Amino acid sequence: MNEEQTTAEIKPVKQKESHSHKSKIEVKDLDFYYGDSIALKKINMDIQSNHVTALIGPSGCGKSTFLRSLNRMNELIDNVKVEGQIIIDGHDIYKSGIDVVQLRKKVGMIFQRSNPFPKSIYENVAFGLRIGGLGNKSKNQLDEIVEKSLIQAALWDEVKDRLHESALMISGGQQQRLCIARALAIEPEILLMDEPASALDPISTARIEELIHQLKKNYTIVIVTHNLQQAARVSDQTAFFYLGELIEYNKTTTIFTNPSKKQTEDYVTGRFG
Amino acid sequence: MERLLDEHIEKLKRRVLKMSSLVDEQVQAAIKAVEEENLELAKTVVENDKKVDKYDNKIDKICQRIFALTQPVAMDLRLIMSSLTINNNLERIGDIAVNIAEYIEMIKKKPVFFNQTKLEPMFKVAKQMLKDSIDSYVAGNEALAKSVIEADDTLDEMNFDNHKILIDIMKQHPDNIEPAVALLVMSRQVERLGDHCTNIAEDVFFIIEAHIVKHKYEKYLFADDKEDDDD
Repeated sequence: MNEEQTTAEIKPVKQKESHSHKSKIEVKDLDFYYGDSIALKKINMDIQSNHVTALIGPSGCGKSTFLRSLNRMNELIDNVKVEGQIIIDGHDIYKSGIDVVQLRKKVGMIFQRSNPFPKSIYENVAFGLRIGGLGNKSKNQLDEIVEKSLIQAALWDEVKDRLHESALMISGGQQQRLCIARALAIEPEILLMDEPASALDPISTARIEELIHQLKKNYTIVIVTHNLQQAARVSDQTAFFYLGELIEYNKTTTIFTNPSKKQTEDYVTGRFG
Repeated sequence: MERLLDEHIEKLKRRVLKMSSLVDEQVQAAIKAVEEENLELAKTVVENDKKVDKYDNKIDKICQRIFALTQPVAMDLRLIMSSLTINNNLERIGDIAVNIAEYIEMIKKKPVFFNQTKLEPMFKVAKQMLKDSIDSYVAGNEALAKSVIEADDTLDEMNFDNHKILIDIMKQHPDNIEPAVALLVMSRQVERLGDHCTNIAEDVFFIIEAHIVKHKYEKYLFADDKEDDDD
C-alpha cells in the first residue's frame, strides 16, 4: 500500500511535464462491459482542470456509464467489467488498493432528481461530514462549512433563516442546489452531474447553469445532458458519444459551429437521436 | 428524418432566391436603361425598389423566427446567418440599381464620351458576378464563388481607369463636367456592386467550409495552407 502510494505520488509531476494543458482526468483505452455486452469501446479522453466538460449523445450511447465510471459508481451494479485506465491527478482509480470512499469524496456526484434526505437543510449539508467523521471539527467549524457550501451553491440567501426546517419543504430547484451544497461540503475536486436540471423549470435550470459557471473556478465539472442548448451554454468542451464510442471531443464552440464528423453534425442539428 | 427546421430553411431559401431574381432583374434593367437611354425603364427600376425592400423585410423576419424558435447550430446556423447577410447585400445591390437608374434619368442620355470609358465592360463583369454569386449560393458551388472574388479585381481596375479617363475629359472639356461626374459616380456604383457580390461569395464559402473568409480570403482561397482560426 505504501509502495503504491509512493508511486502514485510521483506520477502527477511526470504528467505535468508531458502535457502543456492541465489534465485533471486522463482516460486511456477504456472499455466497459455490462455482462457480455460492451457499453464503452476504447475511450480516450483528457478532461481538463477547471473546465466544464459536457457529455452528449442519444439514449444508450454510453455517456452516463462513462460519467459513473469516473468515480466507480458503476461498481454498485452487478457483473460489470472495466478495462483500460482512468487516471485522476496521476492515480489510476481502477488500480487495486484504491480507497473507493476516498475517491468518491474527491469526485462528487449530483443526480438527475434531487434526493435530499428527510432531514433539515443544515443536516443535509453536514451529512457527509458527519458520516465521514468530523475529525476534530467543532460545532462552529461545521457551521462555517455548511454556510460556505450553501453560499457556493447559491442557496444561502434563500435558506439562511430556516436552516433547521425540513429539506423536503423547499422547491425542486432549491433541493437540487441543496444536493450540490451537500456534495461541496466534503470538498471534492471534481463534480459529476447527471442531467442535473432535467427535472427543473426554466428559471431553476438557469440558476443551476449559472451555478455551474461559477463552480468551475474551483472545481472540474463533467456533466451529462440531453439538452444540447444546455451543453452549448455551460460547457467548455463537449464529447459526443454514439453506440458506446467517443465520436468527437472538442471545444464546445467547435462542436456546435463546425463539427468535424458527420455523425456529430447530424446529432447537434437534430437530424437523428 | 424531416425536421421542423427543414421547413423553415426551405422557406428561407425560396425567399432568398426570389429576392435574388428580383435584384438581378433590377440590375439588368438599370444597365439596359443606361445602354439604351430608356428613361421609362429607369423609372420602373426606381418604382420596383419597393418590392426589393419588402422581400428584405420578409427574409429578416423569417431568420428572426428561426433563431427564436429553433436555436440552429452548425451547418444550419451558418446557412441562416449567411442568408441574413446575403439578403442585406442583395438589398444594397438593389439600391445601386436604383442609383444607376436615377443617374441616367438625370443626364437623360449617354454623353458622347461614354464609349471612351470602361463602363460597358464593367456592366458586363458586374452582371456576371451577380449571376455567379447567386448561382454559387443556390448550388453551394465553391469554385463559382471563388471566380466571383477573383473577378472583383478586374472591376476595381476598370473603375480606377475610369477615374483617370473621366478626370482627363473634365480637364480638357470643362463643359462636360456634369455628365462626366455622373459617369464617375456610376462607375463607383458598379464597383460597389462588385463588392457586394464578393460579400455574397464569401458567405457561400462560410456556409460550405465554415471559415470566415471576409477580409482574409487571400489566406483561405489563394493559399495552399488553410489555417484553422479558433477565435
